[in-house]
Amino acid sequence: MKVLEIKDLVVNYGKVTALKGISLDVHEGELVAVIGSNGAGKTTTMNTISGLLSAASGDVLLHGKSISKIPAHAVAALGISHVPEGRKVFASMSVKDNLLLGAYLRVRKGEKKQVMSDIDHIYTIFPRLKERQNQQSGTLSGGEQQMLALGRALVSKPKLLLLDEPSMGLAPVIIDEVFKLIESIKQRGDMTIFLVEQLAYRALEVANRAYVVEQGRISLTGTGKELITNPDVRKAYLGAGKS
Amino acid sequence: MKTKKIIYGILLLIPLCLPQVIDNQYYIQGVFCRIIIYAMLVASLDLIVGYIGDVSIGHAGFFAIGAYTVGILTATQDLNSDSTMSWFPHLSFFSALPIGILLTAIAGFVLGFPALRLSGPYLAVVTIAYGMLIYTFINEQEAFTNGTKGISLEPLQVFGIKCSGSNFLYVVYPFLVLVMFVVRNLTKSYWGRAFEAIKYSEVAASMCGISKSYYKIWAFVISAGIAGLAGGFFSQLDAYVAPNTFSYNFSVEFLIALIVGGVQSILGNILGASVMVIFPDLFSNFNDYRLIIFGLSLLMVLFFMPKGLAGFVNLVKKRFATKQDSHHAEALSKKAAEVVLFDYTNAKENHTAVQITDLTMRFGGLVAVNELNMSIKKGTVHGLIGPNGSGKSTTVNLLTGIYAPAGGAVSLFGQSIAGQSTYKRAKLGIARTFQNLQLFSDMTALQNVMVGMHNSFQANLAAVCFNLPNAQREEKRAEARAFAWLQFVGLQESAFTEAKNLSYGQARLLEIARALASNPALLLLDEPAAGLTAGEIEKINVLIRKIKDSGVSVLLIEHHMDMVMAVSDEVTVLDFGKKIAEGTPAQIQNNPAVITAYLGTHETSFH
Amino acid sequence: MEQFIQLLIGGIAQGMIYALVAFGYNITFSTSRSFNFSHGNFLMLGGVVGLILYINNQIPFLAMVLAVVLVGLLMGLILYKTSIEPSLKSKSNYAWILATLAFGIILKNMVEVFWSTDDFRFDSPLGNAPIRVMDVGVLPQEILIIVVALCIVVAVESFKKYTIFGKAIVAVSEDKNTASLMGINQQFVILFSFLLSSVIACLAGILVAPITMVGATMGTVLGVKAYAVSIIGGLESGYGVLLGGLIIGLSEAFTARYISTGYKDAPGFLILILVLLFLPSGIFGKTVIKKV
Repeated sequence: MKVLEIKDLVVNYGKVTALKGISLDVHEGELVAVIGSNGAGKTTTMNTISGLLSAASGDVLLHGKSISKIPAHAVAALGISHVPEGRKVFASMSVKDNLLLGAYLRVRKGEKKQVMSDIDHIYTIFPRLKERQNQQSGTLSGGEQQMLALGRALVSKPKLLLLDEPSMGLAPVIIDEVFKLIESIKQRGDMTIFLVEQLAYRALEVANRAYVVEQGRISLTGTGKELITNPDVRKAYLGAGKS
Repeated sequence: MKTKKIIYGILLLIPLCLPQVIDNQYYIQGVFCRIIIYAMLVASLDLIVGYIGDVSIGHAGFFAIGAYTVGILTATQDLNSDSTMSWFPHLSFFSALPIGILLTAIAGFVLGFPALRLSGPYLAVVTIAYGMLIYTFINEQEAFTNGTKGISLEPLQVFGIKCSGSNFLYVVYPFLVLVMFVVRNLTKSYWGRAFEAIKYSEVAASMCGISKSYYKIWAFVISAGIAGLAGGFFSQLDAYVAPNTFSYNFSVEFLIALIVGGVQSILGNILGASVMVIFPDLFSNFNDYRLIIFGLSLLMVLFFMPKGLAGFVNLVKKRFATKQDSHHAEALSKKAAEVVLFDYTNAKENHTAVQITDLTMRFGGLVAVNELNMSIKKGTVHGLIGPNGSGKSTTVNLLTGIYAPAGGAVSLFGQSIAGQSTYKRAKLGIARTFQNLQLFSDMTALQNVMVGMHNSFQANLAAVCFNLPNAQREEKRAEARAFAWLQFVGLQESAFTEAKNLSYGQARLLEIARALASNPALLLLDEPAAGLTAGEIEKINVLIRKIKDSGVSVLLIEHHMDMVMAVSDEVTVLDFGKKIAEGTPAQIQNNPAVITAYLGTHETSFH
Repeated sequence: MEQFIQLLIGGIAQGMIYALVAFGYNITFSTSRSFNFSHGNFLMLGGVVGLILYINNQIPFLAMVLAVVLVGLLMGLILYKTSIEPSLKSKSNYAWILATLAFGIILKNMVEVFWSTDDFRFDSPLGNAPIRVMDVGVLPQEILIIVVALCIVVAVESFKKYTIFGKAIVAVSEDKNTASLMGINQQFVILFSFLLSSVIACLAGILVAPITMVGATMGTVLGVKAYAVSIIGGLESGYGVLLGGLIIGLSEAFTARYISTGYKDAPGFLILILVLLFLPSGIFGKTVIKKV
């Protein structure tokens, strides 16, 4: 069953056409990655799904229903959780408050008790966060902030998890850790994951399927395994070259 | 052209005939002269709000300084018993007026300093504070100002001729014409362009060689000076000045008059002042509702006609403008044919354009650029690439002086540029374009390029204000040269199009033209291909080669690898602020470290 | 000594009124980067409505307070819909300053036209007899002002700190887009902040009424001085307004007593200018590094 379907999506930033007609789909329980170099349109795709940007044409469907005209806060209520590029933790607030805000809609619905125990569960996955639960999250290291952003998304119990560039600005060791986590979330099997990532090989290793975007268009698609050995992926990043 | 000037001349004389036609002193003095004085004040406010883009809610203070200085210096003891007017020299109006202007200009100078560091609500509140302080002073400082009693003045006489009543028009009207003439010349010159450039983008303005401090402070000085002039006349209007005129509300009303009339327009200034004066008269039955209607009209104007009343008139004018523009373009293209671009009088012999040594930059704990060493050879295109967050933009900001490095050195043609501010580096020959376009959106393409040529202008402020022949010649030469730059990038057809109406590809080209117009030795192109189509990218490639062939060194920061590989002579790759590779494009494409940085690692990837 | 303490308490009370109005600026500035430049006129409206209901029509005090709260909510809503929402949508970055100024002018003029241009006395429900404590006479209304102002500031700050909706407000102040990814409706949060700030201003109107007079002009200068308070404390700080209010209120009281009543406004504005010259985001403000 298709959880997410994007049809001929065109998105403009002012006068720039960032997405020039992208179509892709994500099935229940899958981890689908979109890879491509900087400025290819990966984050734009992500922000349009979650309602931060609006489409010029085309459509975004969640379980077959269009969500392209719905504002971001209402999209979140439909069970989509978006971990934004650059983590975007609420820097002045404590780790605990960040996690609580991740479950904002659930707390408003009166599930506070359940949320608190979910947060405790998050702490068991990320023990570092528990140690620092009362610390201002702006003072965390980049890796810890990425864990927090992930945890914040998980406490909302999403059906669809959007991960935007989880490796950005992190040291290779930390990136390993982050991708191990993504792998383990995937293994739990209760979430569909849509991942956008520049580091192609990392993403392809964990992805069931992947799309390569170049200049706002999809240039290549296949399973993670197929693409990892495909030399065209490298060309999408470093140019066709003369060699 | 000549008939037009004659028509304007005649139109300008009409108001002087009014006293002959309307035999009603109240209308001439109380309404007409008041409009004239208020129009000057609105024009002075326009310099700050319209051109510099700051909100001032304290111009009543400047107005008060002008009015009180002239008032005190022309007052006599007889009319103001129990006052201290005898302490002050008794001067004629026209000797007191320059003193009033000078003192107000000094007050403007003082306000200019906070304006350098503050903007938006912060600056607005500071202007209010200034206004309030001045108001408190004139209200309380009886020894100087006669306090709440105010100062009564003799009817104005100039050279023994009675100039009060309807005759006051003959004195004040020429000054309105003068003020408007000066404001018009100033705002249409390189000064006005500098003001507007600062408003749209301080960074882009400084990269064009514009010192924000210099121009902003001057704008406040000139604005205050004009307000002081208006205030001086105001003291003679009713031959009486009292503190409660110059309250906070008065400043607010002038701000409304400016916006309702229309900013950046002399006509708008006059219309706004007229509405402010005539309105209560016209609807005297509704006078109680005056401010309600004033407030409502401000809301209307703000949200439905952002150019104010003058906007309507300009719409009509624009219909005739296209024809004029095409004539103008034709004339310019003839002159542009004689222009020699890339005319280096300061040709540098040195082989290395830029030498970067151990450059380091930290943000908090993050090392954005880590002991970077790199050199750009003269007359080459040097690519700078790297994944997101690798330190490319930081390097550009270090080169242009927007950030101060934590360590290391940068030299341009063997000369250290450490510690130089951005606008000075622009003067030394660094120009740049911006990843997220920073054009001056309400200016035409031609004007944008002329801002880039800022450093080539030499006419002084007086020559500019009075549009003296040298300023005119310089402006014409610059126009032709700017047009030639537009031709160089292929934008001559859009010379008179406002930057905001250009297509994205054109806007990118315009940024390059503007950067080149400053005659740089080093051009930094920050992602020139972002958002462009393949065809547009090819155009930029051709352009970059042309620029290189003309002897300019280019540093190209770009994600679009095909472009980097096609035009670069040498490429440096950054990751985590460190240089991880350097070499020819082909070497870079096959460098394992580069591939890892971009695509990550994988067991199967290097088999 | 006695006089000194009286002056001190009077200054603090005055400062707390400024702090309340300034607090209203801070609440909306942090969520929307804008505030009501005519906030003082909302205070005036609170005072006028209070006077009409409580003094002229003898409605019970608490019923009057409730009515004033409702008026505040209504005015906040109208302000948001007519001035703030369109300004935030427009490209101009000073539209909101002008729009809220215009709104305030309309409001003030309407009160003048439809009610009165005169000033009226508003007797404190606590009476005018000073309470004597160790030879120092203090007006009960002054104590009331200090207590209520502190309570309001502490209540709102605690609300932001300890409740989920309060945290959502902080989240919107920090990063609107990310907040909306959490499911927080940022428009509603901004509207809420304007409602809250308007209600507080109207309540400040009834608080200050007994020590000033009630009339259409009572809010203008108060509102202007509150800018200074707000900016001195830092436009984005919560408790900073209390310090800002103390600085302005006390400097005013002591200037009026030891220099001249006419100059009482001067030190506050001088302090404002000095603070901004050296600390452009106020005493408790955060400095933001702009990225290019």
